[in-house]
Amino acid sequence: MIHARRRAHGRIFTVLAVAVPGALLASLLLRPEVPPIQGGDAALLRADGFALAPPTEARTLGAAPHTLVVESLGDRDGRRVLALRPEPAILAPDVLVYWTDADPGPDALPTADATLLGSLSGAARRELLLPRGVGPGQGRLLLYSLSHQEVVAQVGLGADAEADR
Amino acid sequence: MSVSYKAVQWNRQKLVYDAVLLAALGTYLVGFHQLAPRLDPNVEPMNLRMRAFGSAAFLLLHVVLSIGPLCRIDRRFLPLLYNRRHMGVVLCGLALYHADLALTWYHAYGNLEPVVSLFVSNPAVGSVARFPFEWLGAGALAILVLMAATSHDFWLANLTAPTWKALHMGVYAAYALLVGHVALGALQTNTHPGLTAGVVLGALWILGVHLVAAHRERAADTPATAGADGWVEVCAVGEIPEDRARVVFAGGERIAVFRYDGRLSALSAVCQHQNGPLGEGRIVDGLVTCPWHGFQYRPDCGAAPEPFTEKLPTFDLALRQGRVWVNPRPHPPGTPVEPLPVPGAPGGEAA
Repeated sequence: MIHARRRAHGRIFTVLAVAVPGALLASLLLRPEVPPIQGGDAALLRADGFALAPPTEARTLGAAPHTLVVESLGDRDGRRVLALRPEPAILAPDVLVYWTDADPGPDALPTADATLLGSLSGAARRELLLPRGVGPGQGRLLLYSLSHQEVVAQVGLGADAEADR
Repeated sequence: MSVSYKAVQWNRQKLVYDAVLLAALGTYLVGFHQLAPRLDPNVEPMNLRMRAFGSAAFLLLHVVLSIGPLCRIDRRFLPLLYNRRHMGVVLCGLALYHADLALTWYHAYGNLEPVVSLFVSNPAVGSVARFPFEWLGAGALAILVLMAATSHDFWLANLTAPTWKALHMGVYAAYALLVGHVALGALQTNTHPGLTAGVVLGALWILGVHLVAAHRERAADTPATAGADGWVEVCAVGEIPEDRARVVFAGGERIAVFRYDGRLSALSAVCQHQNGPLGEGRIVDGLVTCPWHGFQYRPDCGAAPEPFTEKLPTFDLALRQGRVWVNPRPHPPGTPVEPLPVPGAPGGEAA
């Protein structure tokens, strides 16, 4: 190289000798603590309400086209835990799941005393906790599309429940 | 050499060089595809390929950037420099394929053009973990493509070596951008200490060898003290090995004083081809030969042998009390200068 390029090379690497280690160090020190998702690490999925326990004996409740595969996963902190899986997949957007002990009637929106349990999407199997004190087979679930602002389906939880509307 | 376009002129050295390069690259890619799924069984095939080609490009960039300073530190690395441009073109190909896979995988199925999506889908420039590191990769890729596109001697001859060299020093910016691309991309989600250590050690290596080489160059560029008449003392005659040169920095550039056949001649130490260090070359078949790519010049006039047309400035020499002096005022390139006989040497004057 000619002298001017040699001098430029020396200056460039003087700058890089400060900038590159500095940038590397900053990127490593400011790296978030959230661990990457590994195959066996389902903490993030569990935190988001996905049911990860192996499937147990299930009932299919509701009427086509919106039936739910419902499993009882026992109690947690005095509240009954259900695993719900739409079958077939729900195509409505932003579906929220409410529990209510009342019969709101066809197409009625969730009332103020309905309890929001969580959300469903596609064919994902989600864990939902029922309100404290709710017994087996008590009440019904309302599947409400937030985007469309309509009840997609109602599913009774009773053993003899058919559904429904 | 002509400035008109000529396709790559293959020879045995280039063929061997490229064969070794491609074999090493193939071994790395196959090995990556075999080993990586064992370390991460859930990796998607597309992601696997993307990582294989991206990491191959990043590693090859380290090799490319190591060759120059290593050659300055130890002449045994010079054979690696001979065909380094092919390595750069291969590196560009790897990076382009990596970018194509990333665009297809992350940006091809939206309602925007993939390239537009790349630049507008993530504006989180204030975040470290979510920084749009792809922008840095795209910037580096643009530099690598420009360098690969202008790597042929056609561009070298038309742009002139100093301009071409300045353009190709963009690889240092590309390296800095790619370190950022990896540090703000892969290292944010993959916290495996081996990956982090690899990137950090790679950066320390590149910075280290370049700083050592730059320090040596700076020391060699210390201006020689001129006498009252403006001439500069080089060394004692006996300190110049036969068929080699001593280099002195005078008049703003390096001058090489060659000893051959009992005579001394002084030329500019900057090869006209790629501005290689001609003073570190030797006399082969009576011609000064550049250690980088073998370009040759007549020592007494600085002109390349026919049919080539490159010419170097020449300088006047004098012997004063057994020591060699050079006049740092150059003659126009290709000007013949009577070689200075070495007293007592075969072919030279009597002692």
